[in-house]
This record gives sequence, structure tokens and C-alpha cells, in this order.
Amino acid sequence: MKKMKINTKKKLIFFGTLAVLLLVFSIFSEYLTPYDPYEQDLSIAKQAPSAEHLLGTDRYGRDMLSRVIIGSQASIYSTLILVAVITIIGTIIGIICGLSGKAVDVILMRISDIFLAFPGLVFALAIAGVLGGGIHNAIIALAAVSWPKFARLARSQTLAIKETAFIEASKLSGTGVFKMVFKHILPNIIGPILVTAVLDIGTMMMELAGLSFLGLGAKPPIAEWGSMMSDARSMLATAPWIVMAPGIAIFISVMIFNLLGDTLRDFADPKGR
Amino acid sequence: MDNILEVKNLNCIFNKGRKTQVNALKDVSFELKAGECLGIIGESGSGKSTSARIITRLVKASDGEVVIDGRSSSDISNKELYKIVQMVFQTPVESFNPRVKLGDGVGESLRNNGVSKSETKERVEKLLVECGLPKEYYDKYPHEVSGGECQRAAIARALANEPKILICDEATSSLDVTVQKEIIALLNGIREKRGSDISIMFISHDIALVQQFCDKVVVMNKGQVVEKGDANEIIMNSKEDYTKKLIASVL
Repeated sequence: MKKMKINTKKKLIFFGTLAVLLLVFSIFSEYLTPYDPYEQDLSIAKQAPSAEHLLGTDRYGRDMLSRVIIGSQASIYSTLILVAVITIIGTIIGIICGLSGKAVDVILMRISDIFLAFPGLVFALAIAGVLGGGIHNAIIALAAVSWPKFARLARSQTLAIKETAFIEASKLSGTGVFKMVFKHILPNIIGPILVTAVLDIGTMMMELAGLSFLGLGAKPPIAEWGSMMSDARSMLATAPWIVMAPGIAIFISVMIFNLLGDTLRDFADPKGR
Repeated sequence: MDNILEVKNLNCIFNKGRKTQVNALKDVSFELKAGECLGIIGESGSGKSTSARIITRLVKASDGEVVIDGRSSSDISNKELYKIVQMVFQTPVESFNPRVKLGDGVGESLRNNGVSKSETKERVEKLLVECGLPKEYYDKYPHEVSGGECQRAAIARALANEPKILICDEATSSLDVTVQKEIIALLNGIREKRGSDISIMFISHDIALVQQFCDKVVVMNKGQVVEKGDANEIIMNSKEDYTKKLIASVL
């Protein structure tokens, strides 16, 4: 028990530090690029990785390392904002459904069913199409179709916890609804929601990239990992580093957030602490 | 002695699916006198807990009246009701939020009633000691203590607002025999100390325990009251067939 306690804490600190480093890195990415990520030089287009250009150059001769570094801003930030928005909205709606009586629950859940009935990305495409391109609209579009998952999760967790003896006991202590939600319900359901949210970062990163690829997300020349990858797909055979560089960047970020999510879940469980 | 609690013709119907209904309670009436201990016995599903949950408003009755301290329960606000009636649950550990310290759980009703933080702590520690726990347990989490200790804390929580009626819903059922005895001793101590200021409704399927602990007893079956009266009288020479069968199956 005690050994596990230390390990979980150490792991949490380790992955937490990595995630924070990644964030700090992306905040200061403008100052970390060795070259101007937007400067084109066709004379050095599609160069393989070398000492001068560590990750090679893309088809316009832009330095890939610089583009990957600057791309972290668009990729990581928009994904985090998106995930935060859908987690908060979904959780609020889910708790309202779980606690309130029949009518509200039925109405909100049928609405979420409608959203779940469509293939998410296609529906997001339609919304983004109506709103127009741009990373903000892409976030709004994806948020509009992604909240039901969290609403369902929060609702089922709330329903399960609502019937427990300690909720009834605290009702008998005269605890009001708000205090009940923030002191008794939220802390006990937030674990799985948080883990789902952190694990969702990868998916959302890819979906944002998908929208970018179709011209409905980040617009070129803005560097964004997903759109950089999609952009270079046709050159996978001839210049694989152009796809690999942002791909590995996504892989590393997703891994860090996934492992952080797992550790967070272990830590959030008081029995394992 | 006056009746502190009167349950009059209580009916409770649960909808089970669209067409089937379960009559959990049918015309249940019983009364609890001040300072008395009333045992409620019966097999699972006989409506013992449902009666308790209606009195504490965790379940709504379909029909009938609950009179508490001479006033109809419908005229009493939740806040006031929970100062008069408190309940100890069957599952001690589960009746505490795993993320909240025992002391904060015990003191929750005090805090909700506007008692200051420092005074709450003082009073909770006193309550814990009264219920046989060291006051250091204030800072323990529910999973760090045993079931019996948790039940002591639950009793402390129920006593925090000096209720007049304490409902023990199978409060000893999930504990082993020696711990059961300790809890009963604790409840006896509380009765001795508070005299007619506290009345206990003791729900149990342990008939021997009820005979030993309670003054009066109500026997329930299938949502109806089969028999009620003096505990010894009913358990030793009952008139109803169901009661005889129930007692024969245990003793």
C-alpha cells in the first residue's frame, strides 16, 4: 500500500512535469525556433534531415523543426481549449440530468441522442461549413458534437452516486443542492470524467487536424501539426520526414497526456493514494 | 407519555415498469412514545425501511400522515425535520463520503446550521468521544477505520443536532456479533444519558436483539403491520401465525 502510494505520486509528478513542460514549450515556441517557420526557400525544398535542418524541410523549403515547434501552439492550445469546453459543458448538463426529475432529463438526453446519432466528424463538418473556416469555428463545431459523451458519462456517474448512503446521509444533514454537487457529487465523479477528458485530447487533436485538412480549421500558412501531416500525405513515399515530424510530435503529446490521465485516475482514487 | 412520532395509515406505491405496481406499504400505522425504543421486525421487503425512509423524506408516501411531536410532518420544513429526526444507515462505511474526513462528515449538519468552524470541531470531537472514538478520528477518512468505528461515527453524526427521534435502519446488520454488542451498548448509554429526550426506532431482522433492546415492537409483513405491542409479550407468546413463523425461523 505504501509503496504504491509513493509510486503514484512520483508518476503523477513526472507526467505532470512533462505536460507542463510541453505547455511552457508551446507558450515560448516563438523564441525557440531555429529558423523562421514561415519563410519559404524553394532552393532547399524537400531536403532530408541534416545537421542544418534537423527534421528536414517541406516542399516550400521551410524548416520542419521550426514548423513543428511553432505548430505546438495551434495544436496543443486549440485541443486543450476544446477538451476543456466539452468537459465542462458535458459535465454540467450530465449532473443536471442526473439530479433533476424526469422531464429535464428526458429532454436533454434526447438532444444528446440526436448529436450521438450522427457521425461526429461529418456533423462537425456541416457546422464548421456553416460557420466558415478558422480554428475558432473548428473548435465550436467540434465542441457542439462532442459534449454528449461527457454528458452521458456525468449523468450515469451522478445517477449511480445519487443513490448511495452518503448522499442520503448528507441530505439528512440538511445539505443544499449546490453544496451537495460540489462537495459530495463532483469530487466522486470527476475521476473518470477527467481521465476520459485527458484521454480524449488525442482524438480531439486528430479531429481538429481533420477539419484543418479540409480547409475548415487552421488555415495555411499557419503551422498546425494535423494540417501539416495531411498536407504532406502525398509525399509520404518521397519525403517521409515531412509527415513523420508532426506525426511524432502528436504521438509524444498524446502519450504524455494519456499517461498523465491514467496516473491522475490512480491518484484520484483515495483507496490507492 | 406523549407520542413523539405517529404514523397514520401510511401507503406507498412504487411503480415498477409501466404497468406493474408494488404496494410497499398498506395502511401502516404505529406510534413511538417519547423516550421509548420501538423495534420493527419483519423479513426483507416487508416495508420496514420504506417506513423509515418516508419518515425521513427520502421516499414520498402515496397516502397517509406522519405526525412528529404533535405536528403534521407536512408542516415541517426539511431543515427543521432533520433537527428532530436522524437516521443511522445499514452500511456504515458507505454512509460517509470517501473523500471527506469523518469529522467533517459528522459536523456537516452543524456547519449547515451556521455553527462556526472552530465550534463545530469542538462539538464533533466531543460527540466522537461520547460515541467511544478517540477525537483524533476527526481527521481520518472512512476507509481508514473499521465498520464498527464508522458506525460509531455515524451515530455521532446522527446525534450532532440533538434529535428527538433516532432511526436505526439495520444499523447493526452489517457488523459482526461482538461489534453489534458494542453498538447496542453505545445506544443503551445514549438512552440512559438522554432519557426521554431521545426515542429510538430500531429496524432489524435480528429478533433476539430487538427483544433485548426494545420496549415495544411492530411486526411487519408484505407492507402491512401484522402485530404490535410489548416486545417481550409479542416475541415470547405471539398471537399471530406470521409472527410465530418468523420467530420460529430464527430461534
